[in-house]
Amino acid sequence: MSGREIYDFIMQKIDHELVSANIPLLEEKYKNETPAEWEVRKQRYNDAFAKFYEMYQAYLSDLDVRIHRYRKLAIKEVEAKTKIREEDSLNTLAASMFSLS
Amino acid sequence: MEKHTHQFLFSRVHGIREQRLAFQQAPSPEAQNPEPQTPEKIADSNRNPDSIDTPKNVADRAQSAEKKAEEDMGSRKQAIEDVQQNVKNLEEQLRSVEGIEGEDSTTAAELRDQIASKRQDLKTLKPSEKPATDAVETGGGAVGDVTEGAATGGLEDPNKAGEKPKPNAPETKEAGNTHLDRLMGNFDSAVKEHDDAEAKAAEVRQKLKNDPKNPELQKELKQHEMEKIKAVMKAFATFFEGLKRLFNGTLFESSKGDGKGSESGTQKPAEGVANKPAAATTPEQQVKNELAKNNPKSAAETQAALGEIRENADNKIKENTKSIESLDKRIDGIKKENDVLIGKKGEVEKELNKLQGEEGKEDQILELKTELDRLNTIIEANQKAIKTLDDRRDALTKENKDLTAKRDAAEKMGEDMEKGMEKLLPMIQKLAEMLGLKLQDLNIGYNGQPIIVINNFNGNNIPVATALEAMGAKQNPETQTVEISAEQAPQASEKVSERLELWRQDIQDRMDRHGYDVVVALNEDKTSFVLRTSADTKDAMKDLKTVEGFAQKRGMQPANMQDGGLALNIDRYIQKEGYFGPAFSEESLKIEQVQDDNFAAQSSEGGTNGLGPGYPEELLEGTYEQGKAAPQVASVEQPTRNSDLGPGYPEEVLEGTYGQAQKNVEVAQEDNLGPGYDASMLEGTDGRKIS
Repeated sequence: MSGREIYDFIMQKIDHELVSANIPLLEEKYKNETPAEWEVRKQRYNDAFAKFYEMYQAYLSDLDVRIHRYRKLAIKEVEAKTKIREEDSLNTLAASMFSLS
Repeated sequence: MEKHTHQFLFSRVHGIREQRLAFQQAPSPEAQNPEPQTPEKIADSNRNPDSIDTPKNVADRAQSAEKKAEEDMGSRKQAIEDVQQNVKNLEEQLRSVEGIEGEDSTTAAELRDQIASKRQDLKTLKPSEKPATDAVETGGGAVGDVTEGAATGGLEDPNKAGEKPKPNAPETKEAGNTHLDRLMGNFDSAVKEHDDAEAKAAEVRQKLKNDPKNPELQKELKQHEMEKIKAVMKAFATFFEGLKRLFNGTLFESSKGDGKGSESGTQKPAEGVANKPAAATTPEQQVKNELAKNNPKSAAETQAALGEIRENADNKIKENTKSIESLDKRIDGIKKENDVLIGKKGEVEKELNKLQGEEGKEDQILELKTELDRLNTIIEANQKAIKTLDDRRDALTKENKDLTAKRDAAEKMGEDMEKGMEKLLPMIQKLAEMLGLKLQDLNIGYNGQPIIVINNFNGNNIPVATALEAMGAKQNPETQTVEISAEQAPQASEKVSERLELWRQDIQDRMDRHGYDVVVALNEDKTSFVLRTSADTKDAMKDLKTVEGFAQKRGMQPANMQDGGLALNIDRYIQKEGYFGPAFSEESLKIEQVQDDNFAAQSSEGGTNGLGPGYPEELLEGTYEQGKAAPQVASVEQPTRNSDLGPGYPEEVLEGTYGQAQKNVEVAQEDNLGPGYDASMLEGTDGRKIS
């Protein structure tokens, strides 16, 4: 997933105007905007980005937790395989000893 | 040998444990972000440096955010790739060890030494000292190594090289391709050798009647008698190999090309008996490996083990079928929704086309374009979800196919065993005749009890003596019992008990560590742990109640006992997953503890999520991360309601063998999540599901 996709994913729930595809259209859309209106819009955008980073941070933390868990699961699986093989070896060894006695 | 084996096993897992330690020591996400990231802090840190002042800044700000996300994703992808590489390395390491375990492994070498040593021991015994025991012991040894030398060991003077049997006995014949065919051929050859020797001996005996003190005739008679004994030993060895192969399911396997069971006199230990189990590639091999793990010592045990394999396969197939049906429904649901969305998208596009170029409709066009983007995003996310679920369904379907093959293989093996019994029975009869014994004189015992050689014969559980009786012999309690030593017989039940004790100790440690006034004991029937308060105080009762709550959440089915104890059911983990408690040694557990991973964060003392102590690490897997993630995720409104994977998770980087396991947790909650997991464990402590 690209940086843009992640940005859009999060931003589209905050302010649709700030989705990547819409940004180039803003100039045209607000060409008759007064300075006062811009001030309001500017504040809205700044809040939107603050919210974006807040959600992005939560997303990243969650992702890190998932990666951490993935890492643990992966190594755990290898360990499980080792365990099975160890047991197989031990059982085989025990069976061999039984056979030889 | 024991010491050597220990070193071997240790070296094998050492790398993995080191890796595990490295993983454990790698900073966890929490450690990487030691300071609490409050929304205010995040907002402050992000607002000030790049605030938007002019309309032009908007695009810069967006680009900056995209770039940051790109960089962050890059480092995380790298982290996952590193894990995958690590896992790959470890698996290669394991495979190479497995390879080494073949011809030249320490274990194999030790086994060969053991066989050679045993053979040498036998050579030092004279026939007159322990004839019957020697006979069976030699036969037992020959199970692992049926050679001329082994078959005659103990009866030959090692210094008389000239009397050693020829490596390729001309009498041996090959009737077919299976081990049974080969063994029956060998057996017949041995019988023929015996009969020829007996015929010659009879001639000599006749001559001796006329000239009883003739030393040449006496010597010749002795030689023929010796040949008879050799033939009997060979027959014994053949019979015991057949018996062992009967139990481990290899009797009807091809004896061609595997180097085993050849007539070259260089036979290797029987597969699954004195050799390591081969990789589980075919269903038959899988069944054999499982059988080897159970190490059945009788036909009844083998049949029971085969029945269990069939039952487990059936249960898993049923479970998978349910999951497949559930996935079908989910996929259908998403597909239907996507159809609706695609229809809607078409309408929007149509409307957009109409408005294109019209003056004064810019706002409307913009809205439609935005809507179109939104629809595309959702459709795309749905398609990803469909693919993920489709893959999972395919995997389950394939697994079911494999399981069906495995179940059928186990069934066939059971049938073959019945057939094998019928084939081996006449061998015993013949053996008795060759030894000059009547059937009632032959009572092969194990540990003082008649060995269960022919039990489950024709559906009846009968010991060999009874079977022989059925064949016309009468059981004679005074007969000589030939013992097969059980000194080194595997003690599977002891191993299980040790593991359960380790598990119990683990839970007790957790109770103690977190100040719970609770004593943990293993119930007599070994299906549950019983927790009791050590004092009848209010606090202690409260502790027990708390533990009960946690156990309930984990699906351990806590039950209050009449004496005030609390029983935690572990049987289902044992029965369903074959899980007997913490998998690793104390050393490994310490690593977990040092890292303060999982459990400490979940204890009631931690106070954040109320998961509490008292459960094996495995049972807590996933819960901790879920619990940790819950508040963070809860603050994020899910952008795509159809994606169970959350907001824009890079699913693709989690794909693959282990990614699939991850998805089991994330996507298919009803599916098999591994030992100790169940769907209830995916619940966040605040009642929310993470995904």
